[in-house]
Amino acid sequence: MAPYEIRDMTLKELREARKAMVSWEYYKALKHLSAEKQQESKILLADIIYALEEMRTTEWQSIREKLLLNEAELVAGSESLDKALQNLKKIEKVMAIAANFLSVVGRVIKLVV
Amino acid sequence: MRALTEATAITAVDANSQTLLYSRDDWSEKIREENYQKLTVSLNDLLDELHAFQEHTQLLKTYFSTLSRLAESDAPDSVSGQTERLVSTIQTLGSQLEKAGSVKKYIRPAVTLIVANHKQKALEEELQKHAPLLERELELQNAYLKALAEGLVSDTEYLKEIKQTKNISSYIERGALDEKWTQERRELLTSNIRIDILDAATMAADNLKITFDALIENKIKPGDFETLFSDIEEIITLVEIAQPHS
Repeated sequence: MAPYEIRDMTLKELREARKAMVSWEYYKALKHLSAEKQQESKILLADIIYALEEMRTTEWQSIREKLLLNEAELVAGSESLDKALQNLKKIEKVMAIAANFLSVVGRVIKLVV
Repeated sequence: MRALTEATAITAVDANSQTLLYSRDDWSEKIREENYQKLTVSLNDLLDELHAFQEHTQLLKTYFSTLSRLAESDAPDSVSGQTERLVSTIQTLGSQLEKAGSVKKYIRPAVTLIVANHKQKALEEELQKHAPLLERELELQNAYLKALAEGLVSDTEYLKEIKQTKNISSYIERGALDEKWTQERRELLTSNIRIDILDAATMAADNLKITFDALIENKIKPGDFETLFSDIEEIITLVEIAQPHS
């Protein structure tokens, strides 16, 4: 893939995750988790949104090499997350896969202010 | 119709604010502060980009206005110097936009332009010199509008999902229902994403490019610059960001 295509794919997946994590189905599943896990999910959502905004506004050429270097893991992570988002009842699995995808995204863009 | 960049900015800010509010009660002050800072920084970058796009559009309008004067001027040399500076500034802003937005996938390859003979030699020389560059900048406008549309649709869907979840949970969970619940539900179930704005914006950008091509091929007369201006005015109307109220 061209670097900008890897970026667009990542952006699309982050957008999908953002939308799914505020859905009614996710909300219902979240209520069955411990308070600690619920907190973790909400922080994860904020991190996904921050990553999305960073990915949206970062010059793609400045992250070109990092995108190429992490292409395989970004593609695999994106596919896994896409699959996980199809079944939000398995919320802990969704969270784990989303967190893993985010950690790969974090190799490409800075995720802390 | 609300301008596209204004709609994009407002929707992006709303989406960002909703995220902050969504989990506010569950967060400690420390986490609230961190998230507020993170999300505000990213939003400011997007707003800067939208301003750069607006400026790029305005400069294109100034360029076409100068081109119109070039076609009628008795002293084309002085006007020619102005186009040089304008094109250079447009290109600088254009390269900034090309790097920042998700525009790359929407940019179509450059086409070979053949400048036809024009009665006004100064105009013909100007087109010979800058038409290929301008063609790229107009293509960038087109691509950027499409990228903006993509972001706007995504932010709108996200906001709708949040509202929908709140609306459903307020009905199912215990507690008194807000008196606006029925109205909110109706709005959520019947609202469509503002595709009209997106269509209008991309159509205006396409029209501008078609008119510019016609000018290069001498299929419109300099007197018909009004068409070019109305095309770009259409885009400016669509892309203007609301100025802060004084």
